[in-house]
Amino acid sequence: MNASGEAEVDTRELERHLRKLLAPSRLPSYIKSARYELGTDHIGEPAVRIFLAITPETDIVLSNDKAKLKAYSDFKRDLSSRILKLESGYFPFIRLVEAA
Amino acid sequence: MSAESLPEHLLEQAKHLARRERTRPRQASLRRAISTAYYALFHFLIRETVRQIGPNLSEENYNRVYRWFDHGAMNRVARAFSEDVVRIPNSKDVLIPKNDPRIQFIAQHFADLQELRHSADYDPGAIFLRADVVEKIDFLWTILQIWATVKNTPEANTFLLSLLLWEKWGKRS
Repeated sequence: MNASGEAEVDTRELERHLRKLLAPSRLPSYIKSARYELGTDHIGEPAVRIFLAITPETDIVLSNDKAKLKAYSDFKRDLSSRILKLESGYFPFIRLVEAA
Repeated sequence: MSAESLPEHLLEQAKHLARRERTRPRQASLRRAISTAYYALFHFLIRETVRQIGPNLSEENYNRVYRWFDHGAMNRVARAFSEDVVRIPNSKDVLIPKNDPRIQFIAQHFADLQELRHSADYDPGAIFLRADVVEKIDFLWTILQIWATVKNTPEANTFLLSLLLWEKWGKRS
């Protein structure tokens, strides 16, 4: 059961959706790769951490271009909303990280 | 009141910290920017709650009420209000059958920022990118603007009341 008293969806079902949402073809071109981890947040509630890898050059571009940053922000919010709509009980935390 | 402009001032400071270095940002600056941005939203939500439920409080009592708010409890409320359907804690009863998307954005951002602030303040291994930090601060400015359009809705009233009294919704007698 999640905090709302609802039955959680199977984590396999959640992971199936995550793989679909994070497929390279669905990501903006400047995101080099994406991965996720299921776990808990700092208060112990279920969390899905999503790491979107970008290059240092993209970090500079996004930081200085308001339109591009807004587009990233919209993408991130759409991704969060899609995960929350699954009602899995796992809260999405999306981070940019430096590509290896 | 003493804390009246605190959220906006903290947000300005967060923006300054995120842009403090022209080229390569120091991790210390980005960490403090995240932490400061979180506290901007934390104080903003408390101020708006107290404005709605106790608009005529004396400054002394306003400051007393300020201390009633708890980070963990607010986080649980934020997670619940991030959903389309808001349910009463530990119950299947529905508090809000169709949540306002603007409230969902605000609630999501609070939970997100609190998690990131925890990492910024306590995880020495965490690395922050400037774009990530700037995006969160910019969205916080957007939230302050969105709030003006949503603050008098039933969903906003319920959200703010929940920040203080979340567990009470399940009380039956």
